Amino acid sequence: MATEGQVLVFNKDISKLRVREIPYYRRRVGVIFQDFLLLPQKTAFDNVAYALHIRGATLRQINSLVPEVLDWIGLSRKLKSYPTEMSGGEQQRLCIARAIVNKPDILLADEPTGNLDPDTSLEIMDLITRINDRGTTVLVATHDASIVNRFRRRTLVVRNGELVADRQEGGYLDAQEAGEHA
Amino acid sequence: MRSFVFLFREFLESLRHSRFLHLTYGAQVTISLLVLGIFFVLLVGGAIGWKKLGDQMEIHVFLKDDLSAKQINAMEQDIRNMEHVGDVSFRSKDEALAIFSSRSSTLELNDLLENNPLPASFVIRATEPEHIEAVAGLCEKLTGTLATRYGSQVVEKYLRILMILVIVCLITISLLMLFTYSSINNIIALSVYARRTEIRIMQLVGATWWFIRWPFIFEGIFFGFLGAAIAYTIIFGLLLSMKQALALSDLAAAMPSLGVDESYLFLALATLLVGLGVIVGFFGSLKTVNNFLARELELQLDSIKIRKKLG
Repeated sequence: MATEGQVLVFNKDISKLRVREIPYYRRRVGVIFQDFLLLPQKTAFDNVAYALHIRGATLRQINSLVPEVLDWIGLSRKLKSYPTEMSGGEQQRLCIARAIVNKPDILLADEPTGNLDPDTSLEIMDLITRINDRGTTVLVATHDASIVNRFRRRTLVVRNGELVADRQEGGYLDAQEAGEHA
Repeated sequence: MRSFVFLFREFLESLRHSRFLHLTYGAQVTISLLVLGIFFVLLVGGAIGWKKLGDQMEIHVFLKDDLSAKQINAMEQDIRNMEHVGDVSFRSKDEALAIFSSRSSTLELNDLLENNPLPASFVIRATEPEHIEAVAGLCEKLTGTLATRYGSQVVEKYLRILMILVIVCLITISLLMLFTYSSINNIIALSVYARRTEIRIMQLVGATWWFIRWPFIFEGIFFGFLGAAIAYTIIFGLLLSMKQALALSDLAAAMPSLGVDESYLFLALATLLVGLGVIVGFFGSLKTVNNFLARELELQLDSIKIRKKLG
């Protein structure tokens, strides 16, 4: 938690949001987690539809949007599968589908590849890049230097709660730089 | 409305998934309401019995034989002016003899005695059974009084027992209401805890507090109603079988019958159980989910300001 300064999202200081405003703010920010946070008793379809129900979408909208997103994400054959019947990569894809089905302005990914093998991690990062290319602002928090160095996007390096580097061309700190900032 | 249907389906699905938890929930509510309902029936039965028995208790103030009509009238006025005196009727010597004769048909008192030995009397009913003794004491002090008689020791004892029963029931019912409320709260807290991940997900995808609360409120109301219905059915069955058993024995005549107020009793019992079950279910769920959400928010935002805002 920040101890000073402001966190401005959509030109609004989020620390000053009123309790009742928080859900509406969250609807504009999609979130992806390292541990997926899917509902195990619901099918892939229902997990994604859940985010739409919360916004009060009609059944017609849900029945059209959910298969479309799951198809785009590569899970069109898993509509009726439960999360426990899916691989880690598929679960993360499902988590991404849930996060983007409401077409958020920002996508926040907290260690999205933390629980995945290298190949699946690359697939997920490709998917996140595609989402970014569609116009969604994507913020990825990761410790995985290979991912950062491979995708070469703007990189902010935070160490011990302080911003130590801001690079437009990406690239994780190498060992020497890391030593300088330690 | 769409969201409402969705939330109701979510509640039904949750029933299907956490069967054991919900079985415990239902059993706890049913047992609490059953015990409460039984004490309520005892309370009403005791109160009705006490009132009926009290109503039947009369004070007989026997008068001296040498009183004139004017003195008797003055005495009646004095009695009517007393506090807690309800009905007062005068019973002459002849009426007393007629009543005595009718009760002992084999004994012809007129044949044995030249003069009527039975005194005239006032038959008094107190407004409330607990004032009988006081009214009788005041009548005893009147100048024209020969003697006063009221109730029997057994009846008085019975009245005292009924009064104690009523007080014990009232205290127990109050305590049981608190117990029911806290036990429902605890079980809802378990249910909320079991679904904490789901609640967190709901929050993260932008669910409002009311959207999160409704499935739990449905749960509270459903189990409150179900528990009340089962408890009512059990008590109703017990009362019916007790009534049938009593009707077969001589006890039926001796016991203050609940028959007169039966429909009232059953309606009051149903209202109490359903009302209490549903209200406690609703507010218990609301309070528990609110506490959980406030705690979650505190953890997420670590904001003292928000805590103050929530009170």
